[in-house]
Amino acid sequence: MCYLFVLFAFLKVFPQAGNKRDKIEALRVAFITQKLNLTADESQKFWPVYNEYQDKLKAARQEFKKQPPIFSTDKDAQDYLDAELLLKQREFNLYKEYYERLKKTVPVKKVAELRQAEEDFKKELLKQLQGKSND
Amino acid sequence: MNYGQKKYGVSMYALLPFLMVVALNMLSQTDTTKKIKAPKHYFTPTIFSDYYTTPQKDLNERFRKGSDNVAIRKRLENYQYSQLVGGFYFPIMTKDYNHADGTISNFHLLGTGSYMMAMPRFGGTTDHNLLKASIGLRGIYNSGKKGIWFVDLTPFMTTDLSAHSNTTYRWASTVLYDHMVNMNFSFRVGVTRTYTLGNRYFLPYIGVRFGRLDKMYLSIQFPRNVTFSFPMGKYLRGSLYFKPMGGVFNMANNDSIYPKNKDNTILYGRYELISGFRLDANFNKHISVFASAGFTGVKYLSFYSETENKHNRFVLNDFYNEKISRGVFLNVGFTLRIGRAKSIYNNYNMYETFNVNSAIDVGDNNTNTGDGNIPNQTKSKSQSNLKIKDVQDLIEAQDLY
Repeated sequence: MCYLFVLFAFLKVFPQAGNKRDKIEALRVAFITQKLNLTADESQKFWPVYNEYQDKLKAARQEFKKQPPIFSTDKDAQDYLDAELLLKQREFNLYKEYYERLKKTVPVKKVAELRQAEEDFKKELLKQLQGKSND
Repeated sequence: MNYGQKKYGVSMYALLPFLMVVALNMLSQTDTTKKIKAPKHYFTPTIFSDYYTTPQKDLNERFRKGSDNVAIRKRLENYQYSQLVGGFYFPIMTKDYNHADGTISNFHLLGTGSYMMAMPRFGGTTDHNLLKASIGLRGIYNSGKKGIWFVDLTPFMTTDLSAHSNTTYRWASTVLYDHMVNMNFSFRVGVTRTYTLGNRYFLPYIGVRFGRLDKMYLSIQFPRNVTFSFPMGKYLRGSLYFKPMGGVFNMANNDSIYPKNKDNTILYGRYELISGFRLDANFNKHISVFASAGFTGVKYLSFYSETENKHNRFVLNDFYNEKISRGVFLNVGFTLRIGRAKSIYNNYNMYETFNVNSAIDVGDNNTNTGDGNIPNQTKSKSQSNLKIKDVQDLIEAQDLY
């Protein structure tokens, strides 16, 4: 009984809903899965590489978010611009590295379709945001 | 001849600044991506706890198969059992290997530990709180294609905390190979040294799974469990299962259950074959809880002499065993996963790796932490409560034009 009490108290303390960002991540993966139509063999090779790419991209963006967009001095402004430049450079380097690796896992046509699917997903998100603001 | 060498040397010097620029450029390019602090491990440090209890049974209510040692049965009077398990595992090392065909294989080395308090209660004896604690290692190699290798070593100690008894060191282990034929079918073969059947056994490990781990599946894993598991929405998973729960523990002989010699310690063995329903709630990547209830179909209780089994390296010989009538059980628990892990979306090899890791529990108690890190496959619905701040880094300024 004591154990049950601790368990329920524990559930009350911790947040019950999943992280919203994780939900968007899951939606994006579902969207891409639907669009790419990968075979079982392609899927087995593709997803580990793509997940690794996304993890690094996410980490780079999170690191950039640590730089506050406060420009009270010239140094702050310069630091912010440097951090943004570093992010862009990292994004490009990751894009280059991982699209080469993805080409080994699926036909190049599907890599191009992936890029398109990512863009389409962004448009979907924008559409939903727009719909919400119209409401 | 000399002139030629000099000319070659001059041209090398002329090339040097260019080579330096190229090298620096390459270095700066790799630096920018290599310094990114992405998650290192697929398995995150995990803590779990599990409580299991069965109600009291009268040992003398009717004649039962088993030992004809009526004196011990009368002495014990009745029997009730409950246990509390706490445990953890954490990644010591994770190594990814990128292959020429684009496949990523990986090796995971995990440190494991568990603490179990077994609490058998007999009407005619003093209360015993029996400790079983383990510290172990497990290694998992996922080839990234079809095969997964799994090795678990669990040395553990057992002693009686409630009265003076000896402490015994034992070990349990499992070595197996998992072959994932496709997302819907996998099989496992291996060997296991386990105490979960109330005695020390070397057994073959044979398992098959039909159906996808992120959908509905039937998994038959001898000698661990038979499970039919199905998603109930995005965060809940239900399972109907059948499995043994048991162990062998050192128990103080302060009640002189074994009167033959002056042993201060005897070995208490037990197992139940339980079948029940389990509901897992995976609230997010970090927290899972479960509740389970059902029936104990077969329930055995045994005592072994420590001295008479001293030189016995295989199955322990009992001096008393009892088959107990059927009953019910209750089992609840939680799992906490700490920190960020590498993404595994649609990575079925990693789903299988997680499933192997949870099927062979830490501490050889046959508890199950569940597969809370495998997302249930459900139909995607649009995100209704979307806010700009949730997606701002996914959208560039030019996307708006």
